Amino acid sequence: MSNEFAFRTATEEVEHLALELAETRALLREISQRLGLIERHAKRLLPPTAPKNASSRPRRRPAPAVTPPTISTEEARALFDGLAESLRRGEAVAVDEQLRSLSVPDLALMAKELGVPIPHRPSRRGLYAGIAGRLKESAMLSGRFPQRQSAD
Amino acid sequence: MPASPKTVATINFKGGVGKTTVTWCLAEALSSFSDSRVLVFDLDAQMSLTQGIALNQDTGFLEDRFAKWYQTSKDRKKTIFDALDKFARPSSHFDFPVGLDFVYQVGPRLHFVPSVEDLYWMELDVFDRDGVKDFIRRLLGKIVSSPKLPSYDYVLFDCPPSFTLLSYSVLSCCDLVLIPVNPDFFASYGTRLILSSLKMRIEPFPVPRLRVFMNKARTYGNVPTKETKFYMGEVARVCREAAESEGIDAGFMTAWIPDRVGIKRAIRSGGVPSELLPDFKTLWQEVSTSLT
Repeated sequence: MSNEFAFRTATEEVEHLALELAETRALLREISQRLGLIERHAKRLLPPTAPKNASSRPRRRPAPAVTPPTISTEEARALFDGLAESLRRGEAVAVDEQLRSLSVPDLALMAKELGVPIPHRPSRRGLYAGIAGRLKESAMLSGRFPQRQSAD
Repeated sequence: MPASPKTVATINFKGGVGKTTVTWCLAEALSSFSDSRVLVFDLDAQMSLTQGIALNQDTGFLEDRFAKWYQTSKDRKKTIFDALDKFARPSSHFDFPVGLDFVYQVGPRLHFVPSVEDLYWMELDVFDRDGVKDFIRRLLGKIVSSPKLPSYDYVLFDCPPSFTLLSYSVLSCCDLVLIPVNPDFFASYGTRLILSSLKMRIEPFPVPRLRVFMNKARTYGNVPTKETKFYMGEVARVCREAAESEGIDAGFMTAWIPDRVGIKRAIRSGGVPSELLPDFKTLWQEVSTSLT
């Protein structure tokens, strides 16, 4: 740069960012190494807090079985349209009950069809919130504000 | 008497949906790839389109040719503001000849009427709002009958993101209102506001045809994402409901424009990127069908 007030060019910006990333990566490696050292040191110094036997070891929760949805994508979309129409008519409680009655796989399919971001392990709460959000948007776009939903 | 051009006003009360870029891209594609003569108006006091055309893409400074023309236009009091000022004066004949000092030649078939900063204050200065509603209609009449200007096939208006005097004047006389929306709630909500209030706002003038389309569509593999499709469906429904309840000709178009950086740069870089041209041609074909 010719003087301290000149802006960096696009190429210089990329180089600058690459440098920052490299420095940050190096920093993270160092932190990781130090944590590893502390962990090994602590294990040598401190006695184990509980005997290693099967009864005391905490039981690991089994991974949730991947259950397929019970409805098709078309049915999920039609179901949503029905719920949205009900909400526009003011049937917020019925909509809430119906939504809560759906299984997690069915909720996940519906959320996917609506473009709701879904995490790797979707929770019922998160899926419900995402779909409820879309329902509210649909109702508001019709100029009909939905009644207050029950707390999840 | 020469035929009147078809007029299209691009509007949405939500800012940032791409009104200016789409207006320009349609005009540029139409004038470059067909024999149509197109006139574009920048009616926004923010002057986004004017700045985009005026600034040289390489240097970032004002394009010499436009700068000289613009200054001459202002010196001769031949800007859109001067025209409106003349029109709005009480008991005054609208004596405002128009020629190439009012219209800037961007290309052989693409002409442009820029905005000026004075439009910022216009809303405060003009008291007779009803008296201004005929302004665009009368101005178009002068343009059509001017021996110094070519016959335009289409006139496109880039409207401001609010209901100003000028947008009122345009909406009162245009053939079609083009409403770009984005795949998000607030842009879609703006559509509902326009559709539900337009008839009331521009009465007793007939409501022009309203066509809504998805702009800045998010895609995956060149296909709109599910989220984008959700909003397309919702906006299409809003259009149907408005058409029924308000008794207006409102529809959601099937053509959509993807969200691409190249489109945002189109005004300053000389035109629509070639890989995006088919999208704008498809959009224009639907617009053109709606105009007939």
